[in-house]
Amino acid sequence: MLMPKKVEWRKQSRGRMRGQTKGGALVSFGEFGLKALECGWVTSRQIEAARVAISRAMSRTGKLWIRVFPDKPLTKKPAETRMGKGKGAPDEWVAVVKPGRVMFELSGVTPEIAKEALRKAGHKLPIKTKFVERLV
Amino acid sequence: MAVAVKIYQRETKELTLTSRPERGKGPVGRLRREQEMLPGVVYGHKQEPQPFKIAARSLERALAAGGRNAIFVLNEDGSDRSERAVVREIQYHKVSGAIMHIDFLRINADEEYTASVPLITTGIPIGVSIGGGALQHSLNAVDMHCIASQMPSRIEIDITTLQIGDSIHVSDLLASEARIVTESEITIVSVLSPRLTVDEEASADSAEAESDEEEAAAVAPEAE
Repeated sequence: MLMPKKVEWRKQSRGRMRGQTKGGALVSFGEFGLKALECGWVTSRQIEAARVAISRAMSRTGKLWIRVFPDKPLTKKPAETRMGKGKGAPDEWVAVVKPGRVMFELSGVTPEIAKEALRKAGHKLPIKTKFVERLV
Repeated sequence: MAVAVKIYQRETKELTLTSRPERGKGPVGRLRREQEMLPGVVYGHKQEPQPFKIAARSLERALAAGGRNAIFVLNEDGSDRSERAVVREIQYHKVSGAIMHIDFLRINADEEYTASVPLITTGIPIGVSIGGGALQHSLNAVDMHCIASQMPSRIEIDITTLQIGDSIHVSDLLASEARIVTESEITIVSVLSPRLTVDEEASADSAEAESDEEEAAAVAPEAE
């Protein structure tokens, strides 16, 4: 699963998710893409599940680009723990995704296969998505 | 490597523009929402930039019919003034993908300029259809420098003869199109050998299943 090799600070604040994506809104590397329509935290497990769904749907052809990286640590307190005693331990890594972000890109497959692969990937993610194509 | 290349000339299209007194985010936003018009600007030739508005439907129709790489004759509504221009930049909405703004660059038919020309591939390579390889597009457009009237709208490359391991570079196009100014070593398209064998994929799947089981086992004692 994707995660940073090393980080300066082990724990982060949650932050706000306002507005649209700053960049990465166009299909830049492949021919087809999966665009986020909502904001949300996409975990490294969800990215991996989407990647596996895409690679199985493409059946070993074509090329895949993952354009989000989970660089934000999320913490979690152990089960049945009283409140207080400080912030919980790092539990998983998430990518902050804002509306308009192209999260996955594909090339080297037919539009039908790409659409089906990205539909399956979209079902693995916690946000609404849509299929987009490169602008010629 | 000999490559079959087909070059398409730019079409000429007409558009009628209206001068735009509305400036700034607020008035221009109302223009889009209430009048279904799109803002734009025409510049170049050391003349003053001219803001204009245009019916959204007519602009979208012109761009959908190959207008991104066409030469436009821009007629000003209510006057007999017209000028030639090409699309320089289009701004899209980040989420919906709708056109937000368009820039036109004034050109003369006999003026030399550099433009990006899309590369279109046709056919399925033998290495993909028979060999099971993967097709990789690395370059989608090349820069060309020539006079405006001879600037192509797109270059079509036939890739059916490519075997696994073959690739087409910009240098392969230079024999049939010498006006390309993009670096000649850059790869346009290549056919890669199959990424994974069936066994490797099956072992990868089993490894995933094992790691899931390990994680489940690791979590269980904590819950107790």
